[in-house]
Amino acid sequence: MSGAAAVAADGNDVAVKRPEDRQSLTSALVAVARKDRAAFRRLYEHTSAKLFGVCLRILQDAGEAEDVLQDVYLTIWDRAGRFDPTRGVSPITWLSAIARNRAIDRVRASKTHLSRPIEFAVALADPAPSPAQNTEAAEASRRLADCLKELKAEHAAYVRAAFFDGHTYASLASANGVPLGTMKVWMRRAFLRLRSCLERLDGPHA
Amino acid sequence: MDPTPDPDDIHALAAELALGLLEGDDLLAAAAREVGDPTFAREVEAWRSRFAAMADEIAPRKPPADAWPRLVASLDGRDSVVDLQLRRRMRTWRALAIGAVAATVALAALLVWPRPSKAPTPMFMASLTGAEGAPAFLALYDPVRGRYFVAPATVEAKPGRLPELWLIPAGGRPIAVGLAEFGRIATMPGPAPSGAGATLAVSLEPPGGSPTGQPTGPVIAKGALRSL
Repeated sequence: MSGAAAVAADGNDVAVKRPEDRQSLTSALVAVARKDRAAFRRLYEHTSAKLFGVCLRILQDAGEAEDVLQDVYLTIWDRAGRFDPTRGVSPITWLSAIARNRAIDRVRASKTHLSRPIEFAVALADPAPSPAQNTEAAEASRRLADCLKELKAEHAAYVRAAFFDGHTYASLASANGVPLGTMKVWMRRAFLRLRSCLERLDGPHA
Repeated sequence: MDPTPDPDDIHALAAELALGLLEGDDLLAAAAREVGDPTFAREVEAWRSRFAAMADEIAPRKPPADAWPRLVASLDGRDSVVDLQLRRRMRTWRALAIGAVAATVALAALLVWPRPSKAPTPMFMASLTGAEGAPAFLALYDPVRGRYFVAPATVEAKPGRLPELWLIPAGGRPIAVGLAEFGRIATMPGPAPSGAGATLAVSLEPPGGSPTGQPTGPVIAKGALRSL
Protein backbone atom coordinates (compact mmCIF):
# COMPACT_ATOMS: atom_id res chain seq x y z
CA MET A 1 0.00 0.00 0.00
CA SER A 2 1.53 3.26 -1.01
CA GLY A 3 0.16 5.31 1.86
CA ALA A 4 -0.08 8.38 -0.33
CA ALA A 5 -3.28 10.39 -0.53
CA ALA A 6 -4.31 13.40 -2.57
CA VAL A 7 -3.48 16.76 -1.08
CA ALA A 8 -6.75 18.56 -0.43
CA ALA A 9 -7.33 21.95 -1.95
CA ASP A 10 -8.44 23.27 1.43
CA GLY A 11 -5.33 24.27 3.39
CA ASN A 12 -6.86 22.97 6.61
CA ASP A 13 -6.66 19.41 5.43
CA VAL A 14 -3.47 17.58 6.13
CA ALA A 15 -2.05 15.43 3.39
CA VAL A 16 -1.27 11.88 4.38
CA LYS A 17 2.05 11.22 2.79
CA ARG A 18 4.47 8.40 2.31
CA PRO A 19 6.79 7.73 5.21
CA GLU A 20 9.90 9.84 5.02
CA ASP A 21 13.42 8.67 5.49
CA ARG A 22 15.03 8.26 8.87
CA GLN A 23 16.98 11.50 8.72
CA SER A 24 13.98 13.69 7.88
CA LEU A 25 11.91 12.13 10.64
CA THR A 26 14.76 12.54 13.11
CA SER A 27 15.14 16.23 12.34
CA ALA A 28 11.37 16.68 12.54
CA LEU A 29 11.40 15.10 16.01
CA VAL A 30 14.26 17.31 17.12
CA ALA A 31 12.28 20.35 15.99
CA VAL A 32 9.11 19.12 17.69
CA ALA A 33 11.13 18.90 20.92
CA ARG A 34 11.57 22.65 20.55
CA LYS A 35 7.76 22.94 20.14
CA ASP A 36 8.00 23.70 16.43
CA ARG A 37 4.39 23.38 15.20
CA ALA A 38 5.28 23.25 11.51
CA ALA A 39 7.62 20.33 12.19
CA PHE A 40 4.88 18.63 14.22
CA ARG A 41 2.52 18.95 11.27
CA ARG A 42 5.16 17.48 8.95
CA LEU A 43 5.71 14.63 11.38
CA TYR A 44 1.95 14.03 11.54
CA GLU A 45 1.64 14.05 7.75
CA HIS A 46 4.34 11.45 7.37
CA THR A 47 3.54 9.14 10.28
CA SER A 48 -0.16 9.40 11.11
CA ALA A 49 -1.26 6.72 8.66
CA LYS A 50 1.17 4.24 10.16
CA LEU A 51 0.29 5.11 13.76
CA PHE A 52 -3.45 5.13 13.09
CA GLY A 53 -3.02 1.72 11.50
CA VAL A 54 -1.33 0.49 14.67
CA CYS A 55 -4.13 1.90 16.86
CA LEU A 56 -6.82 0.37 14.67
CA ARG A 57 -5.16 -3.02 14.59
CA ILE A 58 -4.81 -3.14 18.36
CA LEU A 59 -8.12 -1.54 19.34
CA GLN A 60 -10.24 -2.88 16.46
CA ASP A 61 -12.64 0.03 16.93
CA ALA A 62 -12.47 3.24 14.90
CA GLY A 63 -13.77 5.52 17.67
CA GLU A 64 -11.31 4.19 20.23
CA ALA A 65 -8.48 4.33 17.70
CA GLU A 66 -9.25 7.99 16.97
CA ASP A 67 -9.19 8.90 20.67
CA VAL A 68 -5.97 7.00 21.27
CA LEU A 69 -4.39 8.62 18.21
CA GLN A 70 -4.96 12.01 19.86
CA ASP A 71 -3.33 10.74 23.02
CA VAL A 72 -0.41 9.32 21.00
CA TYR A 73 0.41 12.57 19.24
CA LEU A 74 0.06 14.60 22.43
CA THR A 75 2.50 12.15 24.00
CA ILE A 76 4.85 12.62 21.05
CA TRP A 77 4.53 16.39 21.43
CA ASP A 78 5.52 16.10 25.09
CA ARG A 79 8.23 13.50 24.71
CA ALA A 80 9.90 14.28 21.38
CA GLY A 81 12.93 15.48 23.33
CA ARG A 82 13.45 11.98 24.67
CA PHE A 83 14.11 10.45 21.27
CA ASP A 84 17.81 9.66 21.10
CA PRO A 85 19.02 9.18 17.51
CA THR A 86 22.36 7.83 18.77
CA ARG A 87 20.69 4.75 20.29
CA GLY A 88 20.10 3.11 16.92
CA VAL A 89 16.31 2.96 17.16
CA SER A 90 14.65 4.31 14.03
CA PRO A 91 12.22 7.20 14.53
CA ILE A 92 9.25 5.31 13.07
CA THR A 93 9.95 2.36 15.38
CA TRP A 94 10.08 4.72 18.37
CA LEU A 95 6.84 6.39 17.31
CA SER A 96 5.10 3.06 16.62
CA ALA A 97 6.10 1.88 20.09
CA ILE A 98 4.43 4.92 21.65
CA ALA A 99 1.30 4.19 19.61
CA ARG A 100 1.32 0.54 20.58
CA ASN A 101 1.87 1.28 24.28
CA ARG A 102 -0.98 3.76 24.41
CA ALA A 103 -3.29 1.45 22.50
CA ILE A 104 -2.41 -1.52 24.72
CA ASP A 105 -3.05 0.60 27.85
CA ARG A 106 -6.50 1.38 26.51
CA VAL A 107 -7.23 -2.23 25.54
CA ARG A 108 -6.20 -3.44 29.00
CA ALA A 109 -8.30 -0.80 30.74
CA SER A 110 -11.36 -1.97 28.86
CA LYS A 111 -10.39 -5.68 29.01
CA THR A 112 -11.76 -6.29 25.51
CA HIS A 113 -8.63 -8.24 24.59
CA LEU A 114 -9.61 -11.02 26.96
CA SER A 115 -12.48 -12.08 24.73
CA ARG A 116 -10.60 -11.96 21.44
CA PRO A 117 -9.84 -15.33 19.87
CA ILE A 118 -6.17 -16.21 19.68
CA GLU A 119 -5.26 -16.38 16.01
CA PHE A 120 -3.82 -19.84 15.63
CA ALA A 121 -4.34 -20.04 11.92
CA VAL A 122 -2.48 -16.89 10.97
CA ALA A 123 -0.48 -17.46 7.84
CA LEU A 124 2.88 -16.03 8.77
CA ALA A 125 3.27 -14.46 5.36
CA ASP A 126 6.17 -12.18 4.62
CA PRO A 127 5.27 -8.57 5.37
CA ALA A 128 4.18 -6.72 2.24
CA PRO A 129 7.23 -4.89 0.94
CA SER A 130 6.80 -1.13 1.07
CA PRO A 131 8.76 0.98 -1.39
CA ALA A 132 9.73 3.47 1.29
CA GLN A 133 10.85 0.90 3.81
CA ASN A 134 14.58 0.68 4.20
CA THR A 135 16.37 -2.65 3.74
CA GLU A 136 17.42 -2.93 7.35
CA ALA A 137 13.83 -2.83 8.58
CA ALA A 138 12.70 -5.27 5.88
CA GLU A 139 15.43 -7.71 6.89
CA ALA A 140 14.52 -7.44 10.57
CA SER A 141 10.89 -8.23 9.72
CA ARG A 142 11.89 -11.22 7.64
CA ARG A 143 14.21 -12.57 10.33
CA LEU A 144 11.52 -12.37 12.97
CA ALA A 145 8.87 -13.88 10.70
CA ASP A 146 11.19 -16.77 9.80
CA CYS A 147 12.12 -17.42 13.40
CA LEU A 148 8.50 -17.27 14.58
CA LYS A 149 7.75 -19.98 12.01
CA GLU A 150 10.27 -22.21 13.77
CA LEU A 151 8.22 -22.15 16.94
CA LYS A 152 5.20 -24.35 17.58
CA ALA A 153 2.24 -22.65 15.95
CA GLU A 154 0.49 -22.11 19.30
CA HIS A 155 3.55 -20.50 20.83
CA ALA A 156 4.03 -18.13 17.89
CA ALA A 157 0.33 -17.26 18.22
CA TYR A 158 0.81 -16.41 21.91
CA VAL A 159 3.71 -14.09 21.05
CA ARG A 160 1.51 -12.34 18.51
CA ALA A 161 -1.40 -12.20 20.98
CA ALA A 162 0.83 -10.45 23.50
CA PHE A 163 2.06 -7.96 20.91
CA PHE A 164 -1.21 -7.16 19.15
CA ASP A 165 -3.80 -7.72 21.86
CA GLY A 166 -2.00 -6.80 25.06
CA HIS A 167 -2.20 -10.24 26.62
CA THR A 168 -0.21 -10.98 29.76
CA TYR A 169 0.81 -14.40 31.07
CA ALA A 170 -2.27 -14.48 33.26
CA SER A 171 -4.72 -13.57 30.51
CA LEU A 172 -3.05 -15.90 27.98
CA ALA A 173 -3.18 -18.78 30.43
CA SER A 174 -6.81 -18.22 31.33
CA ALA A 175 -7.91 -17.55 27.73
CA ASN A 176 -6.40 -20.86 26.65
CA GLY A 177 -7.20 -23.03 29.65
CA VAL A 178 -3.51 -23.56 30.35
CA PRO A 179 -2.05 -23.41 33.88
CA LEU A 180 -0.10 -20.19 34.45
CA GLY A 181 3.11 -22.07 35.27
CA THR A 182 2.87 -24.14 32.10
CA MET A 183 2.34 -21.04 29.94
CA LYS A 184 5.45 -19.46 31.46
CA VAL A 185 7.56 -22.56 30.83
CA TRP A 186 6.38 -22.77 27.20
CA MET A 187 6.98 -19.10 26.49
CA ARG A 188 10.40 -19.00 28.14
CA ARG A 189 11.49 -21.93 25.98
CA ALA A 190 10.02 -20.17 22.95
CA PHE A 191 12.00 -17.01 23.70
CA LEU A 192 15.24 -18.94 24.00
CA ARG A 193 14.55 -20.66 20.68
CA LEU A 194 13.70 -17.30 19.09
CA ARG A 195 16.92 -15.85 20.42
CA SER A 196 19.09 -18.70 19.06
CA CYS A 197 17.35 -18.51 15.71
CA LEU A 198 17.78 -14.74 15.42
CA GLU A 199 21.45 -14.97 16.39
CA ARG A 200 21.97 -17.76 13.88
CA LEU A 201 20.44 -15.69 11.09
CA ASP A 202 22.33 -12.55 11.77
CA GLY A 203 24.93 -12.86 14.50
CA PRO A 204 24.73 -11.92 18.19
CA HIS A 205 23.24 -8.47 17.61
CA ALA A 206 20.22 -9.70 15.69
CA MET B 1 14.74 -13.32 44.04
CA ASP B 2 17.45 -15.84 43.18
CA PRO B 3 20.85 -14.20 43.84
CA THR B 4 22.56 -16.03 40.96
CA PRO B 5 19.96 -16.27 38.21
CA ASP B 6 20.48 -18.58 35.27
CA PRO B 7 21.54 -16.49 32.23
CA ASP B 8 18.81 -18.19 30.18
CA ASP B 9 16.24 -17.00 32.71
CA ILE B 10 17.50 -13.45 32.29
CA HIS B 11 17.19 -13.61 28.48
CA ALA B 12 13.64 -14.87 28.82
CA LEU B 13 12.84 -12.23 31.46
CA ALA B 14 14.05 -9.50 29.11
CA ALA B 15 11.78 -10.88 26.37
CA GLU B 16 8.83 -11.11 28.78
CA LEU B 17 9.30 -7.50 29.87
CA ALA B 18 9.74 -6.25 26.31
CA LEU B 19 6.62 -8.03 25.13
CA GLY B 20 4.46 -6.94 28.08
CA LEU B 21 3.67 -10.36 29.49
CA LEU B 22 4.46 -9.47 33.10
CA GLU B 23 2.16 -8.05 35.76
CA GLY B 24 2.22 -7.05 39.40
CA ASP B 25 5.23 -8.06 41.46
CA ASP B 26 6.98 -9.73 38.52
CA LEU B 27 6.64 -6.60 36.44
CA LEU B 28 7.93 -4.39 39.23
CA ALA B 29 10.95 -6.60 39.79
CA ALA B 30 11.78 -6.74 36.07
CA ALA B 31 11.21 -3.01 35.55
CA ALA B 32 13.43 -2.27 38.55
CA ARG B 33 16.11 -4.52 37.10
CA GLU B 34 15.86 -2.73 33.78
CA VAL B 35 16.53 0.56 35.48
CA GLY B 36 19.36 -0.67 37.71
CA ASP B 37 21.19 -3.09 35.40
CA PRO B 38 22.49 -1.61 32.11
CA THR B 39 23.29 -5.02 30.60
CA PHE B 40 19.75 -6.21 31.23
CA ALA B 41 18.40 -2.91 29.92
CA ARG B 42 20.29 -3.42 26.65
CA GLU B 43 18.85 -6.91 26.31
CA VAL B 44 15.31 -5.60 26.92
CA GLU B 45 15.90 -2.90 24.31
CA ALA B 46 17.14 -5.54 21.84
CA TRP B 47 13.99 -7.60 22.36
CA ARG B 48 11.81 -4.50 21.96
CA SER B 49 13.43 -3.85 18.58
CA ARG B 50 13.01 -7.47 17.52
CA PHE B 51 9.33 -7.58 18.47
CA ALA B 52 8.70 -4.14 16.98
CA ALA B 53 9.23 -5.72 13.56
CA MET B 54 5.81 -7.38 14.02
CA ALA B 55 4.27 -3.93 13.58
CA ASP B 56 5.56 -3.85 9.99
CA GLU B 57 2.73 -6.06 8.81
CA ILE B 58 0.20 -3.47 9.98
CA ALA B 59 -1.17 -1.61 6.98
CA PRO B 60 -1.18 2.20 7.22
CA ARG B 61 -4.68 3.69 7.46
CA LYS B 62 -5.63 7.30 6.91
CA PRO B 63 -7.02 8.90 10.08
CA PRO B 64 -10.23 10.96 9.86
CA ALA B 65 -9.90 14.52 8.58
CA ASP B 66 -10.84 16.06 11.92
CA ALA B 67 -8.01 14.35 13.77
CA TRP B 68 -5.45 17.03 12.98
CA PRO B 69 -7.68 20.02 13.84
CA ARG B 70 -8.61 18.26 17.07
CA LEU B 71 -4.93 17.86 17.87
CA VAL B 72 -4.18 21.49 17.13
CA ALA B 73 -7.07 22.56 19.38
CA SER B 74 -5.63 20.45 22.21
CA LEU B 75 -2.20 21.98 21.71
CA ASP B 76 -3.68 25.46 21.74
CA GLY B 77 -5.50 24.74 24.96
CA ARG B 78 -2.51 23.22 26.67
CA ASP B 79 -0.93 26.22 28.18
CA SER B 80 -4.06 27.84 29.54
CA VAL B 81 -4.74 27.73 33.26
CA VAL B 82 -8.10 26.07 32.70
CA ASP B 83 -6.47 23.36 30.68
CA LEU B 84 -3.85 22.79 33.37
CA GLN B 85 -6.59 21.95 35.81
CA LEU B 86 -8.16 19.60 33.28
CA ARG B 87 -4.86 17.92 32.68
CA ARG B 88 -4.32 17.45 36.41
CA ARG B 89 -7.66 15.69 36.61
CA MET B 90 -6.81 13.65 33.50
CA ARG B 91 -3.58 12.55 35.13
CA THR B 92 -5.48 11.43 38.18
CA TRP B 93 -8.00 9.59 36.02
CA ARG B 94 -5.18 7.90 34.18
CA ALA B 95 -3.46 6.85 37.35
CA LEU B 96 -6.70 5.31 38.53
CA ALA B 97 -7.87 3.85 35.25
CA ILE B 98 -4.73 2.39 33.82
CA GLY B 99 -3.83 0.96 37.14
CA ALA B 100 -1.08 -1.34 38.05
CA VAL B 101 1.03 -1.30 34.89
CA ALA B 102 1.58 2.44 34.79
CA ALA B 103 2.14 2.58 38.54
CA THR B 104 4.67 -0.19 38.38
CA VAL B 105 6.68 1.31 35.58
CA ALA B 106 6.54 4.77 37.14
CA LEU B 107 7.81 3.39 40.43
CA ALA B 108 10.64 1.56 38.73
CA ALA B 109 11.58 4.71 36.85
CA LEU B 110 12.14 6.42 40.19
CA LEU B 111 15.10 4.18 40.66
CA VAL B 112 17.04 6.28 38.18
CA TRP B 113 17.24 9.03 40.79
CA PRO B 114 20.89 9.16 41.77
CA ARG B 115 21.45 6.85 44.71
CA PRO B 116 24.19 7.84 47.15
CA SER B 117 25.73 4.39 47.21
CA LYS B 118 26.93 2.40 44.19
CA ALA B 119 26.91 -0.97 45.95
CA PRO B 120 23.82 -2.99 45.06
CA THR B 121 21.67 -2.83 48.16
CA PRO B 122 18.46 -4.79 48.09
CA MET B 123 15.27 -2.77 47.99
CA PHE B 124 11.99 -3.86 49.46
CA MET B 125 8.66 -3.86 47.73
CA ALA B 126 5.09 -4.59 48.58
CA SER B 127 1.94 -4.96 46.54
CA LEU B 128 -0.86 -3.61 48.74
CA THR B 129 -4.18 -5.19 47.93
CA GLY B 130 -7.63 -4.47 49.25
CA ALA B 131 -10.72 -6.59 49.61
CA GLU B 132 -11.17 -6.83 45.82
CA GLY B 133 -7.78 -8.40 45.31
CA ALA B 134 -6.40 -5.97 42.71
CA PRO B 135 -3.36 -4.03 43.91
CA ALA B 136 -4.48 -0.68 45.31
CA PHE B 137 -0.97 0.62 45.86
CA LEU B 138 2.54 -0.48 45.02
CA ALA B 139 5.29 0.51 47.42
CA LEU B 140 9.07 0.47 47.37
CA TYR B 141 11.49 1.02 50.23
CA ASP B 142 15.05 2.09 49.40
CA PRO B 143 17.35 1.57 52.39
CA VAL B 144 20.10 3.68 50.81
CA ARG B 145 17.89 6.73 50.59
CA GLY B 146 15.86 5.72 53.62
CA ARG B 147 12.69 6.48 51.68
CA TYR B 148 9.39 4.91 50.80
CA PHE B 149 7.84 5.40 47.37
CA VAL B 150 4.13 4.73 47.04
CA ALA B 151 2.31 4.60 43.71
CA PRO B 152 -1.47 4.32 43.36
CA ALA B 153 -2.53 1.40 41.21
CA THR B 154 -6.22 0.55 41.15
CA VAL B 155 -7.80 2.69 43.84
CA GLU B 156 -10.55 5.30 44.00
CA ALA B 157 -9.94 8.60 45.70
CA LYS B 158 -12.14 9.11 48.78
CA PRO B 159 -13.22 12.74 49.14
CA GLY B 160 -11.98 14.34 52.32
CA ARG B 161 -9.66 11.45 53.12
CA LEU B 162 -5.99 10.81 52.51
CA PRO B 163 -4.17 7.49 52.27
CA GLU B 164 -1.66 7.06 55.10
CA LEU B 165 1.11 4.49 54.97
CA TRP B 166 1.94 2.29 57.98
CA LEU B 167 4.81 -0.13 58.57
CA ILE B 168 3.71 -3.10 60.66
CA PRO B 169 6.55 -5.26 62.01
CA ALA B 170 5.68 -8.94 62.40
CA GLY B 171 3.57 -9.22 65.53
CA GLY B 172 3.96 -5.51 66.27
CA ARG B 173 1.92 -2.31 66.22
CA PRO B 174 1.64 -0.05 63.17
CA ILE B 175 4.30 2.62 62.82
CA ALA B 176 3.25 5.77 60.96
CA VAL B 177 5.34 6.35 57.84
CA GLY B 178 3.57 9.21 56.10
CA LEU B 179 0.82 10.43 53.82
CA ALA B 180 0.58 9.05 50.28
CA GLU B 181 -1.64 10.30 47.45
CA PHE B 182 -4.50 8.80 45.43
CA GLY B 183 -3.50 10.46 42.20
CA ARG B 184 0.27 10.21 41.96
CA ILE B 185 3.45 8.78 43.41
CA ALA B 186 4.36 9.99 46.87
CA THR B 187 7.65 9.65 48.66
CA MET B 188 8.52 10.03 52.30
CA PRO B 189 11.45 9.18 54.57
CA GLY B 190 10.73 6.20 56.79
CA PRO B 191 12.13 3.47 58.99
CA ALA B 192 13.52 0.32 57.41
CA PRO B 193 11.45 -2.80 57.79
CA SER B 194 13.23 -4.67 60.57
CA GLY B 195 13.10 -8.41 60.42
CA ALA B 196 11.11 -10.74 58.25
CA GLY B 197 7.35 -10.71 57.98
CA ALA B 198 6.88 -6.93 58.03
CA THR B 199 3.87 -5.61 56.17
CA LEU B 200 2.79 -2.25 54.83
CA ALA B 201 -0.77 -1.00 55.12
CA VAL B 202 -2.75 2.01 53.99
CA SER B 203 -5.57 3.49 56.03
CA LEU B 204 -7.94 6.35 55.25
CA GLU B 205 -7.18 9.34 57.45
CA PRO B 206 -8.34 12.95 57.72
CA PRO B 207 -6.22 15.71 56.11
CA GLY B 208 -2.98 15.95 58.01
CA GLY B 209 -2.97 12.24 58.77
CA SER B 210 -3.97 10.30 61.83
CA PRO B 211 -3.98 12.53 64.93
CA THR B 212 -3.37 9.63 67.29
CA GLY B 213 -0.25 7.91 65.94
CA GLN B 214 -2.27 4.79 65.14
CA PRO B 215 -4.69 4.19 62.25
CA THR B 216 -8.06 5.83 62.95
CA GLY B 217 -9.75 5.03 59.64
CA PRO B 218 -10.34 1.79 57.74
CA VAL B 219 -7.32 -0.11 56.40
CA ILE B 220 -8.01 -0.26 52.68
CA ALA B 221 -4.95 -2.18 51.51
CA LYS B 222 -2.21 -4.35 52.94
CA GLY B 223 0.75 -6.32 51.65
CA ALA B 224 3.84 -8.16 52.80
CA LEU B 225 7.23 -6.62 52.15
CA ARG B 226 9.74 -8.66 50.23
CA SER B 227 13.22 -7.86 49.09
CA LEU B 228 13.95 -7.16 45.43
